[in-house]
Amino acid sequence: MKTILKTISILFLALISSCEPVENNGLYPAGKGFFILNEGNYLAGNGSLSFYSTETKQIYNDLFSLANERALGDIPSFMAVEGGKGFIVVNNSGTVEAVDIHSLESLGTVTGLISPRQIVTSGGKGYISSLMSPQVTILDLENMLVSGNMDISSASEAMVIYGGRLFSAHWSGGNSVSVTDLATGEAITSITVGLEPESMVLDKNGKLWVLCTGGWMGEEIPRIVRINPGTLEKEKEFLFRTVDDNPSSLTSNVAGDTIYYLDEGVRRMPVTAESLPSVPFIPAGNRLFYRLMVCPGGIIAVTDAIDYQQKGDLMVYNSRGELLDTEQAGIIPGFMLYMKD
Amino acid sequence: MVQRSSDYIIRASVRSIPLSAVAILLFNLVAIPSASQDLFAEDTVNISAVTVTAPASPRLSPYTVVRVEPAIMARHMGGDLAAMLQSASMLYVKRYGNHGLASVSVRGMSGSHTLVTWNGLPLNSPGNGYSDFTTIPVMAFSSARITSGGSDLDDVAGYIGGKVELVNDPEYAAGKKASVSLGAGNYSDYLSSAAFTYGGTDSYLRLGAWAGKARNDFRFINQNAPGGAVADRRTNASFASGGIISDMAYRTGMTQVTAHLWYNDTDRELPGPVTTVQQNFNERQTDRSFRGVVRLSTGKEKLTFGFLAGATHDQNRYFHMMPSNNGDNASTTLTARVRLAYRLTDKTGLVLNAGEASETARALSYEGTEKRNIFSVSLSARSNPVPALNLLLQVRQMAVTGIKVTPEFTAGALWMISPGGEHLLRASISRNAKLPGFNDLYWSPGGNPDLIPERSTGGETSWSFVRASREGTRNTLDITLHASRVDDMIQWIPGQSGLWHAVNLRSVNVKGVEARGGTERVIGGWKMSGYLNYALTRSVIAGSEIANDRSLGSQLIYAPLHHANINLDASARWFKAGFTAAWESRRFTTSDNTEWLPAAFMADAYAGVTVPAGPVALRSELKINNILNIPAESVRNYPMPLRTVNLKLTLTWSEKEKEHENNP
Repeated sequence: MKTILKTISILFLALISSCEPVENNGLYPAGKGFFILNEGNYLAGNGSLSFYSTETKQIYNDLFSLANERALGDIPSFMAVEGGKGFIVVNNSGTVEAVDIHSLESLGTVTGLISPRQIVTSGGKGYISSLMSPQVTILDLENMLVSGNMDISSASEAMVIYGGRLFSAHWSGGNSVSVTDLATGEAITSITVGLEPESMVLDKNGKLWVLCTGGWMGEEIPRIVRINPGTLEKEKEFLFRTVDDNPSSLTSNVAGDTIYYLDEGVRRMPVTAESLPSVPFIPAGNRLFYRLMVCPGGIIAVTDAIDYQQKGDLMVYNSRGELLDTEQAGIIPGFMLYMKD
Repeated sequence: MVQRSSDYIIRASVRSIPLSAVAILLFNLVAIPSASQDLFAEDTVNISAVTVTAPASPRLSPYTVVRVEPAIMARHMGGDLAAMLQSASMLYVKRYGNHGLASVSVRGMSGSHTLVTWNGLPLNSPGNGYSDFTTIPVMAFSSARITSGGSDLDDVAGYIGGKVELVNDPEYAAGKKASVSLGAGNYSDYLSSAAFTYGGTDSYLRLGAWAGKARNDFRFINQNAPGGAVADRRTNASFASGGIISDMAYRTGMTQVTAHLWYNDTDRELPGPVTTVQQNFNERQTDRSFRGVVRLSTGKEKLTFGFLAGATHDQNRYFHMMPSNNGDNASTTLTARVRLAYRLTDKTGLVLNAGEASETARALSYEGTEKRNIFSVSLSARSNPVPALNLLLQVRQMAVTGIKVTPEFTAGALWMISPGGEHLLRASISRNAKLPGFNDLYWSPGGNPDLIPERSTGGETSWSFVRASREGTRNTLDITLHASRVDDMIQWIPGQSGLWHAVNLRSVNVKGVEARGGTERVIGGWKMSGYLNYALTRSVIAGSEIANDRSLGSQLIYAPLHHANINLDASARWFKAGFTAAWESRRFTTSDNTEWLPAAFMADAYAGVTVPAGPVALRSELKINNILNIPAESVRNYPMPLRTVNLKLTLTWSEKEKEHENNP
């Protein structure tokens, strides 16, 4: 009898194991999906990392703390992947955590950064924007050491690298996009856009789109500005309706032919459009959409922070705007990053 | 930092507390001829034609009023009000680290729901509604009473959590006394104070001053440091505070006038949270307060009259490494109240309270200087139709600039079960309102001028026992059951694009049990005392207008389900020693109760000797805080120190030498 039970147990365990390959330390499944940075409560240090598998259609929470047995920090705000490593910017802790992208074990921590916000990578270097400093920090990604700073004369938020130039948006209280030559570190110019440029994205034509909120006190009408990064000229401006509009989270699909943003829901428009869409593609309904990402295949991921004091929701929609799944993420689910395999 | 919400900024830059001011006059306390069994005499007792203006026993109130034992106050002399209440009451103290900002919650409500008065003058900031208990030294008052719930309707404005009343009682006929005290402790924590008191037959004067500072760079363990737990030292946490106070009183016949002035100045660095690493934004805050109040009480036959007039002015400045984040806030509150009591019959009396509070506040995030007037009238009828029964009915109506307030009421009864008053039963119901603060109304952006008052409806019943003997033994026990519902609670919630705004949003159900026990006795020349407090408070979110809100049914954040503390003291002639322990169950830090601070236990002990030499006495006291060296946090990521030691020397002089014998 014992032998039979033992055999059944072994077979059962083998069956379980074969159903879902144990990779990535078993914390989350290999395959397609995306990371979600849960910001946590301000000053609480309870930011966390989640992964949503578009294959298993499940969310896997608290991955960093499970892998490292400590908290990620206060307000993880951005993540980039380079060479099998993930670089997580933890804003209010002033740190960047480097993790093995599969095991999520910490490979090093850079501390002492001044309110870091986002990171872009190029040539083995990471460029980190700052909410409070007029400098962009340069990080040696291999050794996880700060190798220098670039003075851009203003605080910065979203960043894009194009043609050897760093475009950094002066979000908090600003109205410009600074352009810096990455080879020399010299400032090239500053392009005036609209008040508080919050997010930026490049389209398939290499045009830079900048979403300006109009100021958090509604000082001016929000706008989306299209810039030619070659000529550094503004090509077009799309004005929103009133100063009470609150657009955010500008992004694009993988093809770069359609831009998406949040404004009373999810709105989208072809990069060839002449005007902003008049109605949301996915209405927010009674939810408060917080962050947005578009995956390959037109999968749209949106987060809802609910009251910002409890675990928030992740909603996944198909390209037709139909809700596919709703999962509970961490507290204040924010930035999302798609992973292929 | 990510969401530049008003909520965050409120924390940082709107600790709007004090500005300067002027003080003026008057208040009364009802003087009613009284016999020992006359329960009507709640405020003042006439004994042999001498007016004694001490509050009547809080035990005779139909709702819960607790006086902090003088022995416990004496132990905390030199400390702040937050530390005293944490270890000696059922209140929960939320503190941003050692010497950090501290607020007090009663029965699960927040610090802004707790009214704090000093000699009848409200100290809460009109801006955020809070009082910072760290900046209130125990030396600034001589007695403290705590009312749980909002049943007491005598004040100009309402509250729904509870009330902390701080009073300076004149000590007539106490003679001349003086004291100087010096203290020192770990992490360069120094304190000095001096006081002079003159208590004549009909006049009283007290002058006091204190100053303290601390480097406050204590050691702690950072459990979440990159690479594993490490020992660290707190940075940017220094503290300096000083103040002067004066109390004056004069009485003649049934009339008494008192005047109180208090200037307080605090300069603190604000340490950042300890998340993965210790943050330091070079934050600093200064708070300067001037408070003055004059009170008059007089009476004739069946009529008594009282008047109070006072002012508080608070100025708060906040500094950040980014100057654009700096704050500059100021507020002024002028208060005037009259009280008229008339005894209709031997068994029934009426009390009329009318008052006006003029509040003014400015902050960088207001569009201008904001003002409002609060006028209120309350009428109470008190009757003891039979000697063992005391009934109370009180109604108050507030008239507030721009805000409509429904009437409030309290109805209560006290029944003396045993003829000697050993056993009492109390029951009361009440409906109260708490006005929105200026930040909720006018903060830009997010302030909402359409907010309505938060409302609480509830009741309590309690049994009280006290037995005292001539040999010095006194035993007390009180058990209270309470339940209430708070509607239209104001919360800041995110709107589109993460901008926060204030709304009347949630409802909260509060219910709980409170138990207090105490014993005092003399055994073989040793004077022993012990006090135990326990509170079970279930305060859960009962209703919400937030979509998909999973916090329904969850305990409010930073409202421990269990809170208990014990105080033990023993003294004999020149020696005195004591022990204090406080325990709090887990405190949830997220609204859906998925995260929490673990239960905390903190124990302190002290021992002291007094060496008398004629009119002079030298008292030395050694105190060990956190004797078990347990890491603890009151607010997440703001660690409290591990074990610390303080030594205090106090030199006293009294022209009445027996004072020393009474105060070892």
